[in-house]
Amino acid sequence: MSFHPIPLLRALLVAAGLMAGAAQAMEPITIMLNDDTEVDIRDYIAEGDEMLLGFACDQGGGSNEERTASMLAEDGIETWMPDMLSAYMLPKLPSSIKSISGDDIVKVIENAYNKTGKKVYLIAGGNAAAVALNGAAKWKEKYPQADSQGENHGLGGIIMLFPRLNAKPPEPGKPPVYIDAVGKTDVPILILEGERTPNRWGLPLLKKKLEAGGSRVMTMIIPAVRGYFYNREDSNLAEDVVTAQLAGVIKASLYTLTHYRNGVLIP
Amino acid sequence: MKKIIALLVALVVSAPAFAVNLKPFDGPTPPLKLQGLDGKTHDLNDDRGKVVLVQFWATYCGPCRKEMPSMNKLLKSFEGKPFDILAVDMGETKEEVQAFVNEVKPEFTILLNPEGDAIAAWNAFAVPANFLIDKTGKIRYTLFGGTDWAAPEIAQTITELINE
Repeated sequence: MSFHPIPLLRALLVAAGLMAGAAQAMEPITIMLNDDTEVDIRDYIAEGDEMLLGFACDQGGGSNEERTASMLAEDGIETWMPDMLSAYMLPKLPSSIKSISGDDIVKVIENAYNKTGKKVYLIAGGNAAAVALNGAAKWKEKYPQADSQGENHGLGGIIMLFPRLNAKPPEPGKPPVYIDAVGKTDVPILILEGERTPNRWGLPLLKKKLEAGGSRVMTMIIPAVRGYFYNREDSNLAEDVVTAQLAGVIKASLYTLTHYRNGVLIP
Repeated sequence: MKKIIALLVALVVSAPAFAVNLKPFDGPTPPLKLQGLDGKTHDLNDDRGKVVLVQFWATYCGPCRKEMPSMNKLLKSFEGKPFDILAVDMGETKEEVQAFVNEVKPEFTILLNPEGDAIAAWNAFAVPANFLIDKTGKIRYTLFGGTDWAAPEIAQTITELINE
C-alpha cells in the first residue's frame, strides 16, 4: 500500500480547522436599515475592542468563511456577517453584489458600532471588496471630520482579500479603470493578494489610487495562492494551508492595520 | 418562420467556442527586452519587419493552457512568413514555466519576467493579455482572455498586417 503524505496533510488541515471552528457559537441578529428593509446578521460574539464586519464574495455562504469567523471569535475578535443580498431580495450571485448601496453599508457600520461600542473594521474579498469600499466612501461623505484613523466615529479601516475593484473589464495596454469609491476614503487599508494572480502586478497602481483619498495603504502578497483561494474546488496544498490558517492571517492583518504607523509597529 | 428560427439556431450552434474580439489599439508601445526560457535575450525591436503576437500568460491561467495548441497552429500556418509569437510568463520561476512547457509543449518563444516590470509597462493586469504588433513595432490590436487563435478572422487580420 502506498503512502501519500499530501492528501493526509490536507485532511489533517481541514480536520484541524473544523475542530477549531466548531467551538464558538454564532448568534443570529437582525437590524433595520429602514422601515421596509431588515438585514439578518450572523454575529460571532467575542470580547475585545475591535470587530470585523465581513462581506464575503458569496455572502458568507461558504463554510470556510463561517469557520474562519468562528475561529476569530474564539481568538477574541467579534465578526458580523450581514446577508445584504437577502435584505434586497437579490439572488446570491457575484453580479448582485453591485446592487448593494454604500449608504446601507454605512447604516450597518453605525449599527455595529452603536450595539457593540467596538471599533469596526470592514473585511471583504474579490468583488465584495467594492461593497466595503463603497461603504467607506459613503462613510467619509457622512462623517467628513473623522480623523484618518476613524477614532471618532467607529470605522477603523478595511481589510481586502484579493480585491477586484475594476469598473469595467480590463483592456490590455491600458491602466485599470477603478470604481468611483477608490480614493474616496481616508481610513487605513490593508490588501492581501495572492501571488498567483495577474492582479498582484496592478497593486502598486491600486495602492497609489487608494492613497489619493488619504488612506494609509499596505499590501501583502500571500505566496503560492490564487485569488478566491478559500472558495476553490480545485484548491492546491498551499491554498488549503492558507485557508486553514485564514483566521490567523486576518488577525495578523488586523494587528498590522491597527498598530502600524509611519513605518513602525506601535505596541 | 420555422426556417428562420432553424437558421438562427444553426448559426448559434455553429459559432466558435471562443469569440474572436481583436480590439484596435492606439497608444504607446513599451519596449520588451527579456530573457527567454532558452537563456537567450529577446528584444522586440529585433522583430521589426515581422508581425508579432505578444502574449502575457501564466501557468495558473486555465484559458492560457487551453489556447496554446491553437497558438501552435497559428504559428505553423504562417511558416515562412514574417510572423512570430512571444509569450511572456508573468513573474513565475523558470522551473515552474519549464514544467508547464514540458507538459503543454508550446512551439513558440517563451520569455520570463520574474520582476514584473514588463507586465506593468504593458498594462497587462489580466491574463491572458494579448497584443498584436505590426511590422513597424507598434501595437495595433489587443485582446483580453482566451481565444481560438486558429480562427480565420485572426489569420485574416495578421495577413492584412503582413501585407501593409
